[in-house]
Amino acid sequence: MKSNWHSWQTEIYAVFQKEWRSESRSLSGIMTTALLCLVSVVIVNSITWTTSINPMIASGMYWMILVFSASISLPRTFLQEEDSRTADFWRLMARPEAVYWGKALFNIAQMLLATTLMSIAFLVIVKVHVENVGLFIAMAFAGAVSIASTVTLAGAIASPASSRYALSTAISAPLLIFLINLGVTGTATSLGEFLKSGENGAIGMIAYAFATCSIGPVVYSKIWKG
Amino acid sequence: MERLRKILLIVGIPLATFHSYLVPDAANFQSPEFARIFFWHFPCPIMATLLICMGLYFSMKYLQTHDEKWDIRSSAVHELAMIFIVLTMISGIFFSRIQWGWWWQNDPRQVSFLLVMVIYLAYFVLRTAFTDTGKRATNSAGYAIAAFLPFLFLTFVYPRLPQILGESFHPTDTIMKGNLKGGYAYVTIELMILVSIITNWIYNLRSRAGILELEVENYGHDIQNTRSSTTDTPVVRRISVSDES
Repeated sequence: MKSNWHSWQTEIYAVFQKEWRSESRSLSGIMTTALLCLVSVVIVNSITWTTSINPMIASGMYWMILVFSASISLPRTFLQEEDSRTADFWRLMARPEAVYWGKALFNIAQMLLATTLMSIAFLVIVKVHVENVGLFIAMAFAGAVSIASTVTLAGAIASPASSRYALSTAISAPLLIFLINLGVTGTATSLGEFLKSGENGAIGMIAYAFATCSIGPVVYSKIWKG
Repeated sequence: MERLRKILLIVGIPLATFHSYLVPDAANFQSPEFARIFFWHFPCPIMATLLICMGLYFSMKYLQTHDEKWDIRSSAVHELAMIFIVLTMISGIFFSRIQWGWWWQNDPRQVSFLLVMVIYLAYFVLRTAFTDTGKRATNSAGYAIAAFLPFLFLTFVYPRLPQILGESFHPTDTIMKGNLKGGYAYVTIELMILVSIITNWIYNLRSRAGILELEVENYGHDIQNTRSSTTDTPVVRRISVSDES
């Protein structure tokens, strides 16, 4: 039992480490996500610099930036395997669940970093005041995990297609739209908007993060050999 | 059975339409006579929801068995679901214009169903992206499973959230509380049954056509395989590799 758990751990860690090593050579994934987030925050600021935006609009923009930056930059963990023709190597060497978890954990780590940087930039540049810091952090954390796990699965589904980059964005965005909805409710409450069920947004987001993290490996294990 | 179904539809649809004009105009509507759009609007989201649930089941069966017939069934129900989603949107938009004054009211139910439409449009975009039938079937089945969770949330949870409940023009529990009574209830049930029969009919035709198409394709392969098995060992051509490095 213990050795089985250890072998899973080793496989997942190996995939994670491989992702980290290939990322650390160029940092292109993290840089792309960070740049997309920063450019979006600057655009929001340049549009709204003469007016103060209300918490609802501010949280809507915050989630739009997060979701679209993630749906463009995160699926590459699976897509680059097809580009570099190493996907078949994984199919021979590792269990699908381990591959999925390794890549999902890497995406979650990347997304948490991007969310932290983007939140700081957003709060400072757009000048938004946070009323409930705990709820804001909970929403950002749960949102990052939900977005990363959903986009990882979308990337895995789109990876065998020829137009995989456009397709992964096209199929992950619809799956994430309703997360914007949940996110806006919770984040707007944390920014001072009075909503009846602001905290429910955080609960919904955490529940969705659990659901996608559970469904993702199962679906991936069924689709990965085509 | 087929003839009985045809007769039932040819007689049933005009009768149900006629019956819908016999019930008195609905109260509390801006144009009471046009409230009858409800009879045709209501079965559409119900059928779409049922078909999407069937699509999830067929997709799971495909991933279990890798039998292409399940993919054909899954694709057929998703196509039908999309037709019903579009019909829901169209009838809802007309209802909105007539009763609430404008084509699009940003009503939470309108918005949530629009999101459902976008999610399942992506299913068809995904299907068109694969030329290999096996990969198409596998990956679209995976997407159908992944899309089911947002679909559940948008259909059953989102319209009932406390902050949304008061904002929507749509009543949420008319049927559950038994507020749909008399002639209105009868016509609604009649049309639900008729729409279900039509849906079942179209689904059978669509999936049967798909399965026949598959069998024709496989039949061709079988002949090729039989022929190739009778020939001698395959020809191996020598190729020359240039040593440029």
